[in-house]
Amino acid sequence: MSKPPKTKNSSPKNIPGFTHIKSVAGIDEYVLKSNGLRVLYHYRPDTEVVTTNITYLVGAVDETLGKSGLAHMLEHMLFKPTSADKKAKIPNGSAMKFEREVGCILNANTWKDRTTYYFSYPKKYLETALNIEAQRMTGVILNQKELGPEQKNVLSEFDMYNGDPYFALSVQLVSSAFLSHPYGHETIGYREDIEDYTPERLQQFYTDYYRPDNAVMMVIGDIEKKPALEAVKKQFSVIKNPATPIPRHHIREPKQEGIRRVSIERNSTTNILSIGFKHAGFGSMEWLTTAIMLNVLTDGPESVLEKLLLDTGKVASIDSSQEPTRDTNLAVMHFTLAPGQSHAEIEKIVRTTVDQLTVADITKLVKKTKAGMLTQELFSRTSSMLIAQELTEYVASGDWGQYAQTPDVLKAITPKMVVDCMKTHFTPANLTIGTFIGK
Amino acid sequence: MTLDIKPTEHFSLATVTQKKSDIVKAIITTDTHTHNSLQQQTIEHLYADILLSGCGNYAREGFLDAINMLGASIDIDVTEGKVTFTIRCTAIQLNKVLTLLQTMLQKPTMPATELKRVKSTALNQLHQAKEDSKNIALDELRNVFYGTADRKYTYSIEDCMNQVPKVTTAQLKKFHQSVLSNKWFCSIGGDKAAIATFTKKLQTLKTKSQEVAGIHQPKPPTATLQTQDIPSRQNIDLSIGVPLPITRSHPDFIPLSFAVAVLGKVGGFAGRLMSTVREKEGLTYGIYGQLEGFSSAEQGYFRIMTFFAPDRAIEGLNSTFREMKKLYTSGVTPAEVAAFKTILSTQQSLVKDSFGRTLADLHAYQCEGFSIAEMEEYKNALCDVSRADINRVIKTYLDPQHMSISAAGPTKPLTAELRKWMTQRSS
Repeated sequence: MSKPPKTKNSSPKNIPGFTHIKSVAGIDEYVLKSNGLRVLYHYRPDTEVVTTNITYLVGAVDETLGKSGLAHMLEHMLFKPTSADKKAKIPNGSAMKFEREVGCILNANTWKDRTTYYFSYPKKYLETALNIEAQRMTGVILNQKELGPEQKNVLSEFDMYNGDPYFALSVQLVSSAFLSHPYGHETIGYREDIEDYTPERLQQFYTDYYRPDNAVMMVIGDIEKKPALEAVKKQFSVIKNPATPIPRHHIREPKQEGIRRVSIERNSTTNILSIGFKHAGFGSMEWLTTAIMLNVLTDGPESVLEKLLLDTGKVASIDSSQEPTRDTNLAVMHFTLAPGQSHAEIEKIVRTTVDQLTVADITKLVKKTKAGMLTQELFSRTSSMLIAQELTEYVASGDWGQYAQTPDVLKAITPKMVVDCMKTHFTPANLTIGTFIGK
Repeated sequence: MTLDIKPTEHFSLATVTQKKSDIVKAIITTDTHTHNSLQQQTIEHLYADILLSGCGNYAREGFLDAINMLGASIDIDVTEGKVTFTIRCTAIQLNKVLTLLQTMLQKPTMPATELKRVKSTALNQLHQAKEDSKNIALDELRNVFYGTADRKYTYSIEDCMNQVPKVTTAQLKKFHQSVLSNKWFCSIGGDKAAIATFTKKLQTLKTKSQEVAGIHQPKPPTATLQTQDIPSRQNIDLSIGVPLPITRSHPDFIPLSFAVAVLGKVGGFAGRLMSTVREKEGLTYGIYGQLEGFSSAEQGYFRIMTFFAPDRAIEGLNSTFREMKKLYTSGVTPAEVAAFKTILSTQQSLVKDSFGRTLADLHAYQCEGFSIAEMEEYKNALCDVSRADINRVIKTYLDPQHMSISAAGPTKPLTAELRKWMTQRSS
């Protein structure tokens, strides 16, 4: 067997200061020996562009009662000045300066299990981007002067979402579906909790979770491995972890024993029926089977429920959502009712239809869905930002190595597995149903 | 990736060639606009769905099955008379997908039963759009700027709903003929073999073309206030802007683009509006400004898009107009000119990271009639503009007193206050 050609990415695995963990599908995982920071590296030649993405394993799941949305609020504060910025007289902070002087793409997002920050930029700025991430891992200044305006921005963001009937109903749905597990609140939190944030509350959360051993740094792009990892080491190796362990809440959701129902009434012309069901965490074959099931039921003109409800004029639109979360979560199908239709009637049609579907009914749909998802997988690997985005969800679910397995897992899913998924998921003890009633 | 744009007699073809690619994305755009009317706008609303509703020997379901079994997609978008087909598939399946595309374009059946379904679906979608405050704010602003025959004018949802039942198959087929006969702007990203396959198919499909000249009917700028009460929304969506009497080909367009980026660069936090109205004052989650609706032949407009909580709407407007006035009075600073030259140059280089963005960017330029050399020249010119030119065009085009405001959301309790604010602003 001949040796594979030597490329820049197949350079030696041993990089001083790092322990090599594994290499899968062109992605190398290392751990910085001095503090446990994990690094994922992927080489994409000839673009002149690098994306760096740091994911902290902290999200809404780590928030307790009365403190919903803290992870998201903190995400906003990481764009504020650090102590190093103050010393260097950078009043708006280095992250903003980087965008305002260079034009890099920068942003961040918070989800149930993670908070992610990313920059995409011409490769000569690698050191700058890594320096900003290192500084803001521990050095963000959290005081009332910085928090005040940003708190108002987050309230504005909350109102933006809450004005959307689908979001408003989803908030109520998840809070009914989960009595105890922190997936029962949306990432942005409740308005009342956001209003009550204090700098001290944020500081404690920051200290608890923003640390090298709770983060994964990705370097993806047109940069060779050795200089990329050396730059990571230079910026991050001096950061120490707190002596205290990372706080984790191991909460088991109490058993559900029947359909849970929730309702919202607003002055609106919109009427929505939302049917939620609990499903397994991301990265598993069960999660992908559920994704195929949702596609078969609701995605596109050939899907079972579009044919039955949209084509017959009973609903105006059908949407579904399934989050890539680590633990069991709630997937939701939203049906926007056509004028004159009743929530009860649509619910009856949906549940009866799903109950009666057989392997023969959906075999062709499963095949089509899998073909589409496999093509989508190829498209999702065509830019460094898209790769980082997808990899982030695998990192947060616990095993990024599954990223490479997805096409094979998809191929192995059968129509029978999808029907079994329907039978087990659409039971009264697994459903949460919501209605948005326009008055 | 190698980029190219080649005009031919009946179509123009832009290519993004990759050494090796498992995937292919192709885009075809044609401009059908001659004049806008309620009937025309309603036809455009129904066109995509009816075209995907059967062709050749395929019924709707069979045709959609045939595409999806290949793991492919054919999407159709109709906006302001411009029809765009987007094809995504694996390289292996390209030939089969193009054969299906050809059947759809050359032998659409548009059966009566499907038209009934399409109309019913459209009516429900229109009903659903009644609370889309962001789009309503935009449409109402544009309606202040443009006459009813202009493509940028939007007829009311109620009018469109009344028109839907009157649309006939003959009208839809006539519209389809205009799609086939007008000039096509085609782009493809993939490897050499995929590009060759696509080119060959285009040569079979496109054997004629005609140029159409559309009606463009801007009105003189008069600052007005439009409000649309949508009580179910939490925030008030705002579109603020002014029509501009230049096309994209006008020498002032480039310095104006630069000025607008300094004020409200879309995406990120670099623009003045984001750094003050959002970051310093915490009045909104997002506020951006951009030039919209321009082409080499048509004039467009400047627009700021944002939203405020009802109880902070006046404060938000004061803050927004303060920034606009500051720009109008003092212009951009030398430091801003230097920074934004780097920012705009970086933005151009970041496109190279993404196959999809590279293709979309190239497609947009070729639809404007640019060659590769002209595209490069245009991009360089954007980074080479002078401060004097930028400040001159700000004075010429961006007078805050000329800005109209369109607000959609829970406006009813605020309408009187907004009108008073508008009057005071003008006095």
